[in-house]
Amino acid sequence: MAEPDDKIIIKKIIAGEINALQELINRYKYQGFNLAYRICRNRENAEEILQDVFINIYSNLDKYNFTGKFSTWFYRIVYNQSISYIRKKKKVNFSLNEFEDILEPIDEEKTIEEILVNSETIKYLDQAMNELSPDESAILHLYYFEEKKVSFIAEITGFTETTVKTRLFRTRKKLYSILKRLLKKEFSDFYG
Amino acid sequence: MADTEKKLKQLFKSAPLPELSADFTSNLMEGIKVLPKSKPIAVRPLIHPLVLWLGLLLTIILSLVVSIGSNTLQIKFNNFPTNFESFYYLRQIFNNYLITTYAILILIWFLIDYKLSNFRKVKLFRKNTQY
Repeated sequence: MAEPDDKIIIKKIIAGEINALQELINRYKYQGFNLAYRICRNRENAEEILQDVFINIYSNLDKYNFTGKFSTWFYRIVYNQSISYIRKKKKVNFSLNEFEDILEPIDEEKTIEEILVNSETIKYLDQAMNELSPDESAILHLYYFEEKKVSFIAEITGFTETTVKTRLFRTRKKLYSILKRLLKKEFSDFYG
Repeated sequence: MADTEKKLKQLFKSAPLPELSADFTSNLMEGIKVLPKSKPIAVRPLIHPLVLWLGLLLTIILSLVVSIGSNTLQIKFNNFPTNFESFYYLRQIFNNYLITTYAILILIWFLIDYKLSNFRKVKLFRKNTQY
């Protein structure tokens, strides 16, 4: 049996059906958690953010205009809430420019290929993602993990499509550089 | 380039992410159930304000048409008092009563809508950026 549309579930929640809310939470909790985690880099904090997101959604469902997709609205709330959270906590306060100076520039397709086929890369991806800024981390996650389109990411983050494309390009390069550094370190640690 | 993109997607998908607590939904539902119920879920306005404004505009136009039309006919059919009488009354109705009635109706509608749907509050506190 096909799952009911988000809008039908929302109408049920507005009508007071609490079970419908549970269905909505189960449907979106993993996507929301993964995005929040990528931005705040902490499991407990990501759960806290997600809890606030669902409470906010429940309290503000009347503000959802049924014309747009619920998923877009949901992602936007998760993104905004996560960014606000880390701004408040001030745990992550570095920017792209701070890192660019210490990273080696890489352009060669060959190096990228080497990084991507290296089995150790998976192990270091999380670590490398933690070195990115929250915005960059979110953009990469949405594009590569969630496989969302640039227009969708632009709508969520509030950037223009061109900005998203540029950031994707720059962040990808930055990620390769970080991974390369981490892999090189692993190699030198292993062989002395 | 497309191959690189594909590999990156695979890399992201195969990289481990932490697990969400198994009791996340149940804990959240418990929390939501005990939330203070002071904030009612607002109902949308029954009639779009634009419909009312268009109605008012139409009434004004109609009253103008009748007014001008009756004046023209008054001059044209000055010798026919019956016709003149009927248009005179029609003009009176449009000019004096209909617009006033419509204005009162709009006022009543605003008051009812404000009470029923909390419309004004929703509009005032809506933030476009976040929600």
